[in-house]
Amino acid sequence: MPGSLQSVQQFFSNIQNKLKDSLSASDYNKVNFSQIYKSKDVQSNHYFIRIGLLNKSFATDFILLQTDSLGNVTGGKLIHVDKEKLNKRKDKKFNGRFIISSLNRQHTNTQEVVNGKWKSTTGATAMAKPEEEAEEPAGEQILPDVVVTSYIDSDTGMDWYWYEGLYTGGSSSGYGSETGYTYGAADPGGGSSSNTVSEDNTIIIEIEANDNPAIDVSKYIKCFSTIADLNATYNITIFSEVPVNSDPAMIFNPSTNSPGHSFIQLRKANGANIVQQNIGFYPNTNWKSLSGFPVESKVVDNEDHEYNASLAVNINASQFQAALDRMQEIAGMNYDIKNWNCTDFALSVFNAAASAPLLIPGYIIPGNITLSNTPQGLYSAIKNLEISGNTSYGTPEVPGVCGYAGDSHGACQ
Amino acid sequence: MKKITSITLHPIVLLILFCGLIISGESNASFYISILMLGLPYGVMHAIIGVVGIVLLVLAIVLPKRSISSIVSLSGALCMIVSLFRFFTQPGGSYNYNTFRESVPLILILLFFLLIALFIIKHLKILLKGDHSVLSHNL
Repeated sequence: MPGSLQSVQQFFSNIQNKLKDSLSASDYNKVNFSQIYKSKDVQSNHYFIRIGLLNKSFATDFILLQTDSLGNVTGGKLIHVDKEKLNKRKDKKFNGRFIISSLNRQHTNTQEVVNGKWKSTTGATAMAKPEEEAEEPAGEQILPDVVVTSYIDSDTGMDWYWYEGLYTGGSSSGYGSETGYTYGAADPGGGSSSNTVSEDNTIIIEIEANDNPAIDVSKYIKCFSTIADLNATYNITIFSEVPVNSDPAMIFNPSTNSPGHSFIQLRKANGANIVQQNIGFYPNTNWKSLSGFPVESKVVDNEDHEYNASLAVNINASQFQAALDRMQEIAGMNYDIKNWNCTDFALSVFNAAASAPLLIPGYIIPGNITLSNTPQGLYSAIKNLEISGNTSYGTPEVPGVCGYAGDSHGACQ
Repeated sequence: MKKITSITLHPIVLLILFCGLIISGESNASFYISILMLGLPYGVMHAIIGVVGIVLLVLAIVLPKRSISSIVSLSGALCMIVSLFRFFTQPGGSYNYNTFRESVPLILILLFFLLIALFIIKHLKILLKGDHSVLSHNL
């Protein structure tokens, strides 16, 4: 970037060349080279260069270039912001639309924004996502706001644009950020002299980790139909995460009160095409489980979930279908930590597909007098299979400390 | 009004609220007292500090001298706060963040922090006034 790996002049020249190549002559003549701001997106690690246009408000019309870490321009967009309402206190969030064009204006996409978020569009435009990409990304349900509005002791709000979101036109998943999302001020204020690049006025908004949102099982199952059945291979894996990695004998984690977790992974592959889903079962409103009675449940995407033992088995199409049917059948059942918990759910799905049903030792959960299926019991059963070299139930795996289940494909419409 | 304040800020009320806080995890929920009891045999920090807090508040009830009782009460209250802070910020503490996402556990924890803040203010006032009177009870 300018000032480090490349000189400012070289960087400036890169921008000019890119714009000269891509913009029409009339658009190029409107570029305001005294209004150039750079920023780094903490989520994607892309750099964004925002450039103003002569006789236009910087908040409503600008060029957004994406560069790599060396300052080489990798692409750009012309952005026009059409804001519907003033940011009065009663209209706290941004409403309007972004008209996002390629630099040569051959492709234009109009994206509606409702209360700061992209509105899902039905009218496909030249830049809209291809249909095969129109699935929800794994585990992702909600994108971050594309525009946030801040208020400081005034009725007039200040808008901040999520550049990565604008650049991708809403197709960026925004998922998996541990640091947050970078937003640039709609109007950064001030200006720069010609041929210089100013630091953009940005904020980083941290997004709280999602609290295991419920998924629609049928949408997850639907993804398997995107893989051709002919010559497809099927696999089901049951996972156990014990409460304490260093001591699998513990039934609860004494620090966090966690009883561990069991979940299931379903996988269908055909050549290079693979659909894999990691699915777990939870109570929906946990505090109600204090009553000791069954409570409403939810099924959750357990993408990248930690595990301490797994048992994988290759199955045929009818066994795989039986597992899917069982999962749909039991997904709506109430959660009961003693009698119908995450381990019962995972075992039930696994055994629906298995030739030989897996039986695990029961443990007494504190406050109960009967035996329950627990992640600890599942771990113990898999560990015993591994020690004895018994592969009649599948291939047991007990990683040294812990492993991670891997990606989920996510939902399909 | 004074009577209501005395009742709501009585150490027993705080003790009940502290022990009865609902901690909501990903797969289960528990009262905070059972989490303390679960962690105590393993020497878990928040459990030790929490139990010390409980003991100090019980002690404060039976102590006759008002100033000493206030010092013990303040120490107990601080232990309770530290215990909860440690519990939620320890490695893996995010397992119980549903406590802040579900209405009933959240209301209880907010109520606890409101009362404990008033409780601390009350006892700081007593100490600053230098009230050395003897208490027959704290009501």
